[in-house]
Amino acid sequence: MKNKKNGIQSQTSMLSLLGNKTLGRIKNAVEFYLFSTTILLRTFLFGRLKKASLKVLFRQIMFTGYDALPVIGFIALGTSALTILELNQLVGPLGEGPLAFELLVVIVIRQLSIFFTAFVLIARSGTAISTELGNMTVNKEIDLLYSFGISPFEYLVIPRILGLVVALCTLILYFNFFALVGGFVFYNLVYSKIGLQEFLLQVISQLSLSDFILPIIKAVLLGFSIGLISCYHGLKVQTASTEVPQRTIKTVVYSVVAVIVMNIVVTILSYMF
Amino acid sequence: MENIDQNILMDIRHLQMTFDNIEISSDSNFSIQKQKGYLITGPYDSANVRLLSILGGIFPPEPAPGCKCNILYKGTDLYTSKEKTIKEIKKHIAFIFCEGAMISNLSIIENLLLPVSYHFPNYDRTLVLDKIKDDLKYLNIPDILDKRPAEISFYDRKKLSFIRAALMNPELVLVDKPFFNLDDYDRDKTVLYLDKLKKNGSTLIIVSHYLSIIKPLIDEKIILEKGNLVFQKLTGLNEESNEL
Repeated sequence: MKNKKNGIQSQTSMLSLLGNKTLGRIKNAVEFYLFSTTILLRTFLFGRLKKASLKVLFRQIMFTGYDALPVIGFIALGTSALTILELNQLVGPLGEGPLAFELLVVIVIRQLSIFFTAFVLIARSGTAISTELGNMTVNKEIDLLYSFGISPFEYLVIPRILGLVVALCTLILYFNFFALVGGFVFYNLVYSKIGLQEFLLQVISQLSLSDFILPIIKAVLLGFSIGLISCYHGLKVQTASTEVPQRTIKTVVYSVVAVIVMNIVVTILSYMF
Repeated sequence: MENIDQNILMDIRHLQMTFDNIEISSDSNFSIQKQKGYLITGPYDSANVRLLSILGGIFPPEPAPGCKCNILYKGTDLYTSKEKTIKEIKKHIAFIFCEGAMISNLSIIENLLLPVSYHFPNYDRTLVLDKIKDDLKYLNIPDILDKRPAEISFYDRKKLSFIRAALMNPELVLVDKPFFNLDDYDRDKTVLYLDKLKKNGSTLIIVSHYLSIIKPLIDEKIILEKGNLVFQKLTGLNEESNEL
């Protein structure tokens, strides 16, 4: 009888734990939705940033965009080189010609450029933003801004998100440029020699209008999502510095999920319309 | 539209706050007058600081259900008004935090200029820089403007927060323990500095336990006790009995 009572009690506590966790997740989702709506409205409806916020925006572009150029260039060279090498490994001399150019466009320029650039952005800037805002919250620097009458949304969040969007757009272009350089070099190493002009003409013949429009749409959506997630988790830190790395991990996980899901959704939509 | 007394800067109506399970409420209304000095004191230090934050528009008061508490700045509610209006009000309020809080990833000069550059984007930079240099000299702070807050001493950071507050030409200056960790020489200097602010038209609200040092600046004491607020006007110069 006692055992049965204990069993019912443990089941009840399990259910209440599960219920609390579910409620907690719903609460977090609602909070994130409200946070995102506020930021979107403030960014697009009340547009004009103050001079002080523009300075933050400029710094964010420099850190996220300019400072990431070497690593993006290196990844782009490596990606296109590996694509050509794997193609040669897979189909041998059959890969020479249109198939190589098509693979460079479809795999590297259309998909991997966005994936890799977004992942570098998450690893460098998403974590940096989340950590920085988390530390600022712990050190009461956010309260300090409130005391000055400075909105942390306007001064900290919006410039950072816009910085990520601008940086992602330019980094994707930069990635594609280096991917083409790598593709050209390794095509010449693996297959028969081809001139730069002919190589470019072959690549361009594989491109469609959507290859110019889609990266921009994806960059804006992904930049915004990574920025929102990073800022949200940074500002969710409350009192202890131990919360900062926990929130940073959440930033990375949620941002990666967002990048993959959004990329797939936008790609499917692009094929449908 | 209610009539606003021109001498009154703030009106606090039915204040209610809870801190560390201590409830403090005032059924009567009280006001903060322009160009006066107020001392918030009492046994509960955290509650004193919380009241300062409430008056500065950082933490909203916590009225009991069914009660309404208003913190009015020149007739405008500091918590329920539109964000734009609140931002406009906060241009005229300066905080001096106990530990001289600064944004750690900005240089000292960027920290000092942050409120001014945010609220007054077209400010005269040369004039402001000259004022900063004069005040640095007055408060005996070395030239550390290009350093980060973590690179300078606590004393300098604390004194710099006085300069940052003064740059805004504030109507209201809220000061949390102005002499915390300062030596006697710096205490005297900061009292004179605050006195200069008051003479230039600022209202001072100070949280401190050192009435004897800041007495020249204070016109009224607000004592936070368990359950309520007690007000004491300081009229004479020798009021040692008032000291807590």
